[in-house]
Amino acid sequence: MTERLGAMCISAALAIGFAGLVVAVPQAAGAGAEVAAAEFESAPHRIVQEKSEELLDLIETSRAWVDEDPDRFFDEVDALLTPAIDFAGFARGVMSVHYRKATADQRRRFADNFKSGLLRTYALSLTSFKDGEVVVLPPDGPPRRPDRQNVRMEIRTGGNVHPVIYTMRLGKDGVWRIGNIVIAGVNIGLTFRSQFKSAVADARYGGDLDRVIDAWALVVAEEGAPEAKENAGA
Amino acid sequence: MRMRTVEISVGAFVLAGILALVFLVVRVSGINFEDSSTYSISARFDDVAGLKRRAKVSLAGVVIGRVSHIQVDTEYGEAVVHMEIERRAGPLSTDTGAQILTEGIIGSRYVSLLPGADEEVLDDGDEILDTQGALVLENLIGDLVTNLGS
Amino acid sequence: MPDLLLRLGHRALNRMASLGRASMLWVASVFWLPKPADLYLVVRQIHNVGVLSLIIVMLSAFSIGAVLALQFYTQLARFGAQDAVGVGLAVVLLRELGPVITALLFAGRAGSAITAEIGLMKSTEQLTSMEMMGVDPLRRVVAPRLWAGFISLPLLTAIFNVVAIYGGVVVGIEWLGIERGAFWSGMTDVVEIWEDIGKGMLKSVFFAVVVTWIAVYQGYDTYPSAEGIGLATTRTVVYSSVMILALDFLLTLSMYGDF
Repeated sequence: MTERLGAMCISAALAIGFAGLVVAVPQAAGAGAEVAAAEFESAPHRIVQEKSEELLDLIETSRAWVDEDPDRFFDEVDALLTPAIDFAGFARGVMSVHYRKATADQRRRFADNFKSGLLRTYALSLTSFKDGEVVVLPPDGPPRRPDRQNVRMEIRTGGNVHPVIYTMRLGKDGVWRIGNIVIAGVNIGLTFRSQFKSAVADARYGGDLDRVIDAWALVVAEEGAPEAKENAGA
Repeated sequence: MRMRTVEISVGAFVLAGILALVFLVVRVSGINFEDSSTYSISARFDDVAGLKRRAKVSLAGVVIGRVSHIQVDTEYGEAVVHMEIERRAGPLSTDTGAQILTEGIIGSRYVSLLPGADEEVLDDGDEILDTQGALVLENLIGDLVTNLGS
Repeated sequence: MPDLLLRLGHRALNRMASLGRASMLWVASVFWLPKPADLYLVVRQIHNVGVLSLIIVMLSAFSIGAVLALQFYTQLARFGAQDAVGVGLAVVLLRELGPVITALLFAGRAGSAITAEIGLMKSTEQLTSMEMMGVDPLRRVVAPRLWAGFISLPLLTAIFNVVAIYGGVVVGIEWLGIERGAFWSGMTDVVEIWEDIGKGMLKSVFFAVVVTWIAVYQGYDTYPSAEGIGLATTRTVVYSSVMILALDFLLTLSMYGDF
């Protein structure tokens, strides 16, 4: 029961999480974007702040044309977020134990599917997210690890506060990227991981990694929905 | 001769009593003499929702360890859960995830581990970094209602 | 009025004196460790208080285990949690019912017998004649019974627990059809050696000390008459039962009560 409810909430929560990235505003109201960005000494916090502001700008400027050309909006969001999110690492964590057995092609295909699934499903829903305020919270202490840091953020909409935590990982190239998201206490990476695991075990996909990879969007969208079977087979 | 029957009956009684104790220890408390060497790992959670010492740590539904103790880190506002994992369960990858789930009608909490993709494995004293605290039903419903409304 | 006060004062002093006598008796006998030559005295007493209590203890244990299993089953089956019968049974028995009920039975069966026996020895002046022959009645009569009590009650408790669990198995598994594996594994998952078994046995050691002490003292302090023996026997059972239940509450509070 709890698990089903949890699954239902995750879709909603994800939308909020991405919305958070999009409509982020500097904590110091009225201050310019540059000033706000300089507030954080910690690189991961600065990146979240910067990306949030860039997305906010994109949303604002796209209002005029987004309805006519949603694909262009999608591409621009893609271009903006791709450098900031470690999709490959994210997807690797979701595949977890199956990643070790998967071929290079399967790994790449899943990373692509995973990325476009996330972006396609949620990017467009963000445009409707208007009257919110997003605050990147300062670090609550010195980082516990050199290659990993949590960035806390609050999304305030209509009197509700949704806490979001971005798990930032330091890549080999020295760039901090988002590796996982925890929204309102729901660890998205782990939730996807267990969904992936049960999908591979699910008779509907016949234990076939390829079919799970190809039907990933369906696995996430509707756990156990009847149409998933037909689509997965197609 | 009378004294001898008394002695025999007392001997049998004491033996029965000791055997009863042994039965309780072995059969009822389930002590096992198999390879029970363990190693300790920890994980930080934002909310453990009443997870208790000695709670199960399971992987794919199989109990592979126990919670040894739980601390609170007031600086970060997190619970640090220390777990003893049986070595014979096999190694766990460093990017293993830990979730707190609920079991049964009484709603006792346990830790569920989800192994990851890394080749390196967790060793004594290591920390699980990817965690999912207990999902408190009240919070979930609250979020759901808010999201439906918006 | 002064008369009443005087009598009250006398009563209080009498109580105090009897507590003092009881303590001296206890100290004097308990520190008498049985010598190898006197071991047969203890063995004979273990036979009297332990072996002879075995049947009533086992009979009660079996029916209590069976009844508990039945009650747990009817309640838990409503939630589809029949498998938890084993856990409930084991924890309740090991922690509370095992030590307490065995001690109550022990007080009724063995405690009263000890009191009556020593009381009769006193009223037929056997104790006095022992003293005159230079035999210390504390060593000869009291100490073996105390030691026999300390040894027997924990053993009886362990046997009680096993038989009661067997009673639960007969009703739960054989009759009501709880799955055997789930019954036992639920039990072994929850029951801990020290937390459940160890503390339960520790309780029974406390009860053993209290019950045998009361029984021996009441016998030793009997008013030497037929009526006196009857009164002393009754007192042993009543005092022991009340002390067991009160002590159990305190022990549970201090052992499990981190509220």
